[in-house]
Amino acid sequence: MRIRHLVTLALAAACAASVSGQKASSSDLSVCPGGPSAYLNRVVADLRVTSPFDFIQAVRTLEDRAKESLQLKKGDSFDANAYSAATAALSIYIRTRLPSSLISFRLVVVHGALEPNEGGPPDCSSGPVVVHYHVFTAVIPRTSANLSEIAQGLTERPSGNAGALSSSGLLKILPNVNYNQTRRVFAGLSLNQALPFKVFDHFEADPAISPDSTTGTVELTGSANPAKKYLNNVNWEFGTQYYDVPVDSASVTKGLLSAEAFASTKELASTITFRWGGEVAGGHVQDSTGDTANSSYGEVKLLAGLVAQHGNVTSAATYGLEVGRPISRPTGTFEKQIFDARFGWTYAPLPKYVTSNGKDTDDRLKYIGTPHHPLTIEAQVNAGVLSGSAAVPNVERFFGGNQAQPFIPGQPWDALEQPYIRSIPENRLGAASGTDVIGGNRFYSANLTIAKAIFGKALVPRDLADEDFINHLDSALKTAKGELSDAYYSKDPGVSGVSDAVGTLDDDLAALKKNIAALPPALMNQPNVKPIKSELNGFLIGARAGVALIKSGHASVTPNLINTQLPGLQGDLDRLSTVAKAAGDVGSATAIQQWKNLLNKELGSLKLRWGALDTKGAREKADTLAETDLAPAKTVLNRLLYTLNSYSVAPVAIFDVARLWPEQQGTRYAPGGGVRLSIVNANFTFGYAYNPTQANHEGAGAVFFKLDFTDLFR
Amino acid sequence: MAPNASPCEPFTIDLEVDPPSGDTQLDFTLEKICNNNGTVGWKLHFELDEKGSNGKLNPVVKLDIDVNDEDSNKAAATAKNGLDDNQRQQAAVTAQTANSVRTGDATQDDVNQQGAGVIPARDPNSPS
Repeated sequence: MRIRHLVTLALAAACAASVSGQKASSSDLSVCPGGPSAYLNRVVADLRVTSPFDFIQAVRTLEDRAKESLQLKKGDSFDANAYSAATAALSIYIRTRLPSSLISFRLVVVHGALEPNEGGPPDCSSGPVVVHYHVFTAVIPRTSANLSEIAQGLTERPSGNAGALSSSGLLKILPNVNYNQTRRVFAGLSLNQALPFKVFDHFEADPAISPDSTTGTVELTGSANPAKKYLNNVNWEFGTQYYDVPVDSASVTKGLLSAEAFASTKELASTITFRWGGEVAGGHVQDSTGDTANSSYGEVKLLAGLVAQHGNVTSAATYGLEVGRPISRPTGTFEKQIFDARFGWTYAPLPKYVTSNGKDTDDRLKYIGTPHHPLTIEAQVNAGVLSGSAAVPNVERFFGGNQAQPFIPGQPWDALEQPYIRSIPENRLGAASGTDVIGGNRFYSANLTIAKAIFGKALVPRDLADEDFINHLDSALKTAKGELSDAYYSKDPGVSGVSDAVGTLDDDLAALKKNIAALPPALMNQPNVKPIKSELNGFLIGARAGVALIKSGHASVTPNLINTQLPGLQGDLDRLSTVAKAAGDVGSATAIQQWKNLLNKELGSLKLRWGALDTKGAREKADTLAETDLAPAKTVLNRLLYTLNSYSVAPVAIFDVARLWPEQQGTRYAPGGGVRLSIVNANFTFGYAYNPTQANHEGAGAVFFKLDFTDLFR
Repeated sequence: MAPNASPCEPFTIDLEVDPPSGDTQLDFTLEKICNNNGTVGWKLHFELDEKGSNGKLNPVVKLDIDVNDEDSNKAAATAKNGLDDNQRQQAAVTAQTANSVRTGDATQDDVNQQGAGVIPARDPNSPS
């Protein structure tokens, strides 16, 4: 599943935060009066669309293609109108190529800026000018949807909006070389290919081989995003798993054909998400120690857990149950149960303006572009027990070490099957050689990791610490919230009943349209009537549209009908009546007044009905729901703008404890340290852990490596 | 066009929202334009897509509206603070009018007229 991990990096890069740039020249403009019009006809020396994620080819490709689509080109004479129009052209180009899922909101902000006489003192009168476009993009689900899925689409799908960014349908192959003390040097590939099928839309494989070990999965995968409360997203896989890694001097091997499915809910009570999954698999197990060696084998695995995210704290608990049976031997079934609990806390202060929900002084600009120094504490407890038949295949028994082994290969969240201790190489804990039975039948392990970033570079460049930029983000969020609030508001039983009050109004407006059309041409063709007629038509169309909306359940437009359309219509009827009266057409003037009076009556009753409804309460409820919908979006944007680094380096301290039975060594420890390199939200941790109670077959310690990801929703 | 008191920087805010109904998609784009003659202009792009029987989104309304000079302050306030209640309601009325074009109850000119009312509909009491 290495590809998924890599894709999660792209999540931050291309999805949650894709493009931004160095705002190099807002100050440059200020030294040259007149704005862009002062640069007319000067040569465009260069045209740039920049991004802190330029190192990602998908983003770079998007920028280049967007640039090619512009009317203004390098070498052209500068034209302010073309320069301005390009901001909209870029925004449309980029937005329409971002993933769309009907559960998200997509935001693109494009700022243009000019740099006269690049690199030298500003030349306001002549010389070339460099045109910069700084783009900020966010694609964020309204509720807790599967962000990695969106990111995956963005970088992998071969056709449509996402695929245009990167793969263009080509097989993606990522070679890799790794080392650990058990497998030594092992090389592998991660392959990923989107498929034109509905059920399985991807092919994935990640084989890794060394002279004495082979691991990997080959799978067809698919996913869906129903976005329902109890079924937010689901993914499924069908393929093979192969595991052959030495256990000290022995070897254990397992090859399976498996079908897997995983699903999760939306956030339920108090930010808790429930997730579950399972696997049915059958194949062959083999080892070099005898006993159940070389047997057909079948297993069923079930996995269920909760994850809660509150502020900077994430906690998760998962329980797994496996029932397995060597089929070729009459040994009966065995059961394996595992428990995995995790806790993570990151102290990365947000602006007071954000934490006080806008009540405190706006200090957000101070946080943009300055390196962040988060403190992270991660804790993890794992336990497992085997029961049932004593003849458990060795490969299914417990071994420990510094390689995290997933309970189900391909599972979308972490739950370990084996004890994790970083001072002992992979599979060495529990590897008592020279006997037929190796590994343990129960274990626990606990791990603590503390990291504090000491230097780095902020993800969002300092040049974007600009009030306009912040205002434009605020503007988009407020509009998004307003639209969502309107939708909830219209559905509220407290106001939806207003639709009953516009039934006859609809008929009256239809009749009014006919009546106006039937007014004498001598009146309607008068020059002073033409503007009245045009405006009246606008209000009539607007009023009829408002009534149609209210009747179809959009009660939120009622104030527009009450305060704008109907009063405007009445005003124009008044003016028309006055003109008719002045022209001596008393009959028309009287009729028009009657129509106006009828409208007045309708307006009065609509106002009465609207005034009797609990509009304030309904709006408050709708605002709350809209706020809830947008909360993940705000969280991601806040993390992105005010806490994330493009890279940072942090010293790391670790301490592990593990115990495996029936091993004789007792409780094992792993004090150690290392360094963590974080690139956006991907954390690469390297270090060394000391093994104070080493057994004969163990060294004084072990090098460990871990790749994990900061959750942007936290 | 409004005079450009300080150096003009063009920008575009492009927001796409998917209402909870799951069958429509709204796109608002507000564009600030720095003209060759030193003046500042504003443009509102409004698009409504609806899910068809095939489950795909189809455009119902696509409008590009030049904001009148006298409304440039309201456009600037909108760029800073977002569409207010009145403006969103007028946008909804515009979309409904566009629907009426399909049934013959309105013309494209009617749609344009309603769309041109979105920025001016800003409540004077809304944040500026």
